[in-house]
Amino acid sequence: MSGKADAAISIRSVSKYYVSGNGKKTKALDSVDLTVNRGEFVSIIGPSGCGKTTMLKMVGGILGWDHGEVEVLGKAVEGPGPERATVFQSFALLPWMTVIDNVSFGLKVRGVAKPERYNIARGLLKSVGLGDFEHAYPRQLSGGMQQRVGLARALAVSPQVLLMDEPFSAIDAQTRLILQTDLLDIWSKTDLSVLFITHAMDEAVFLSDKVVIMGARPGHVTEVIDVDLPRPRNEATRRDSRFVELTGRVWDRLRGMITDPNADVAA
Amino acid sequence: MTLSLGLGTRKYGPFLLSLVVLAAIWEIVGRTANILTLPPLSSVLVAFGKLWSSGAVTAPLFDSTMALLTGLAISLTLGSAIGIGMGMSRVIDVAIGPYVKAGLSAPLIAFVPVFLMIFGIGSETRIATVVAFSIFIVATNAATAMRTIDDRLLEMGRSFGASRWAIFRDIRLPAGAPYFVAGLRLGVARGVKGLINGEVLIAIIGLGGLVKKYGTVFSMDQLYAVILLIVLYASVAVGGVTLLSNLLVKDKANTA
Amino acid sequence: MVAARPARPRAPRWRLESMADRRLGRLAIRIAALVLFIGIWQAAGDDSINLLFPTFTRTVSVWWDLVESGVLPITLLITNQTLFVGFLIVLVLGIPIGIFTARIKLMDKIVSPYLTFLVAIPMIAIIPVIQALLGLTFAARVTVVVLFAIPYVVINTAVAVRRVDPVLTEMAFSFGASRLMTLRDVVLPAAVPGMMAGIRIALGQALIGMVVAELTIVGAGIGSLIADLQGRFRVAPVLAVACSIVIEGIILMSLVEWIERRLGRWSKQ
Ligand SMILES: Nc1ncnc2c1ncn2[C@@H]1O[C@H](COP(=O)(O)OP(=O)(O)OP(=O)(O)O)[C@@H](O)[C@H]1O
Ligand SMILES: [Mg+2]
Repeated sequence: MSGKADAAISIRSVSKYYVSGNGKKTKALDSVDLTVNRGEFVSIIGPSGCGKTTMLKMVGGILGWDHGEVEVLGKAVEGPGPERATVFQSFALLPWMTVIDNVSFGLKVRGVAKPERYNIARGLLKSVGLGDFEHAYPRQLSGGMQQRVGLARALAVSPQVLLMDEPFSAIDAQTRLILQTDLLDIWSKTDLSVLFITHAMDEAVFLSDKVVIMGARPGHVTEVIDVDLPRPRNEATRRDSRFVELTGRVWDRLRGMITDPNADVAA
Repeated sequence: MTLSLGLGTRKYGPFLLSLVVLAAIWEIVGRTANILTLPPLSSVLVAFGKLWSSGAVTAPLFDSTMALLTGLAISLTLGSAIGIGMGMSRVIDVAIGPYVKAGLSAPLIAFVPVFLMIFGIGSETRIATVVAFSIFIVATNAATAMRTIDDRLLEMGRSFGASRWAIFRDIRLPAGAPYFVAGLRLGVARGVKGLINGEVLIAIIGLGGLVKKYGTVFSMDQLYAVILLIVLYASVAVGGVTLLSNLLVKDKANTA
Repeated sequence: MVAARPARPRAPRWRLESMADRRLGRLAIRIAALVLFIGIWQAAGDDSINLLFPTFTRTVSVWWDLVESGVLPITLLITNQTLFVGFLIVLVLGIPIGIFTARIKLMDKIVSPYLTFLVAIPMIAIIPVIQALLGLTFAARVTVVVLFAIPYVVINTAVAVRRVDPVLTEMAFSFGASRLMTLRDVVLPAAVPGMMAGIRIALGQALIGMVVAELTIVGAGIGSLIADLQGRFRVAPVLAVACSIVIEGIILMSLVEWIERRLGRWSKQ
């Protein structure tokens, strides 16, 4: 229909209001446009409260909007769907379940029988490097390992679109770099389209094909920066002068918004 | 003002409405069905008015309150002493901690017949019941109050050469104040229950005695009036001490 | 904690205190405390007249007589039927009401104020009403147990369900879980520790309710046994019966606490 055939996610002039308890309306998103092509890795970066999570939840089908259209794989979003899966900032693991039960949660919801879902889960645990931890409980794992479980759970339902809301922000800086490379590794072996939210500029540039910069009050897209760094990306990429340059550019755009919250509104 | 009033109706509206509906049903059923156990609400209120103005409740009310206060005074002094001991010394904690913990949750009300036989049908029995109901929660909270203190503050105190007493008075007590106050509040709430429980079981004295008095002769409107009085009494006591504790400290330790 | 601190010259005090850090030391302290407790009881007792506080040894021997004759076991068994049935009703009704209270806003607004109120008032005051309605029956005693305990289960279940991390329900929803499935697989398991805390408190209240019901709505259980013994002015057996109930209460409470710890293991760090 109206969306480009090769778009994985297509957000067109979407606006969203929140109505708070006392009836006050606040505009969270103002006529946002955003496209993620199939197989593309797109990051969103922007100041706190600019509506990144709001947008991701709309694509995930767990939050409605007021104006505009949101389509995934050419179909209007009406709720959660099997072609999408989300990785959460706080991991959202069920603490009373073992790792393997957590990973198979999405499959259980879909009615996959236990032996089969364990089979799938085992394969994914191996691919995220947690093959030996299937019977562990989340609290026995480090933050980085817990998020690997979260990633495996999302991948277990074999989605075509992966939504990630600051998935590495609760993880220490060194582990985070490892997770970034591992994520790219897994992604490169699939045809997954990824929408990835982050506050870290180097993370956005390192991972993405496109970095979408958003401004606040109300949330809107200010600029889309194409990242033309070659793939596969690895540790050498981080020392590439082009990487440093692009990261600097993202920071230039963001700095103004953060030191002077009104700057981008005036612009 | 209007805003908060508006929010109030939104929050309490359904409850108040349900209260009105229940009262109306009570009144109507009470009038039409003529069940012995359910006199209409209006006659209960009339009975309550009479009970109050006749002065028949003044003496029991005073009597019960004195017993409650005596019992609470015992619980607060003795319970605090026990709790402070437990909080300050691990030996005391290990020695009597299990008894305090058991006393907190075991059905000590089973001892009321024993109290009754030893102390007789007097105030001692209900005072003992008040103490049994309230002393252990006071002790538990006092012990928590002593333990809640940050070790670094104690180290700091010691490094300045403060005496044990000075540390107790200037560091431990203020830091534990919220728990002491929570202990007071919970102690009063439990003490009131102990009082009424004791009196109903003794069956002759105080407010609980009135319950028994009207209950055994099936004088239902008077019985309901006394129940209403007891409910008001408990609400005032618990509400009062909650207010007091909110004034004393910003209460952060409001766990049972 | 004490052991981690460098030893100070206040040696004599600390030596006693450090006993509490070793398992054997704690055992010794507990035994000493128990011996002291029994000793004081023994010394405070006076067996010369039946109406005085009995010594420990007399209480124990009277207790044994009651056990041996079968009177105490039978009456306790009868009394416990009230507790068992009552507590079962408390769980079967209280947990669903708690869940609905947490999930349905209107229900919450209507039910919650009554619950807060029920917890604050002495429930014993309405026993004559129950007695007038149901007579001196088993049903009346069960009703008392239920009324004493159920508010605590409802309140704690509602709080526990309400406190479930919304990220977890959002996660379930994002995987397409239905409301029922989310409730069964996410909300209820997450609420178990809070629910168990409520069940433990409710059990304590149910035990009180059981005793109160026995003593006021007298049936064939310990209520009539105590009334009989009271009529014959025997303090020692009444004390023995009371102690049996208290000890039963302690055992049941420890059992529930143990279950609570097992079920809630995942929620501790
Ligand atoms: N449930 C809600 N009710 C009312 N306002 C909301 C709600 N959720 C978010 N908002 C508001 O909408 C705006 C966007 O929120 P959102 O969580 O999407 O921001 P974000 O970009 O993800 O921020 P962060 O970087 O801190 O995660 C914020 O101003 C926030 O206060
Ligand atoms: Mg966010």
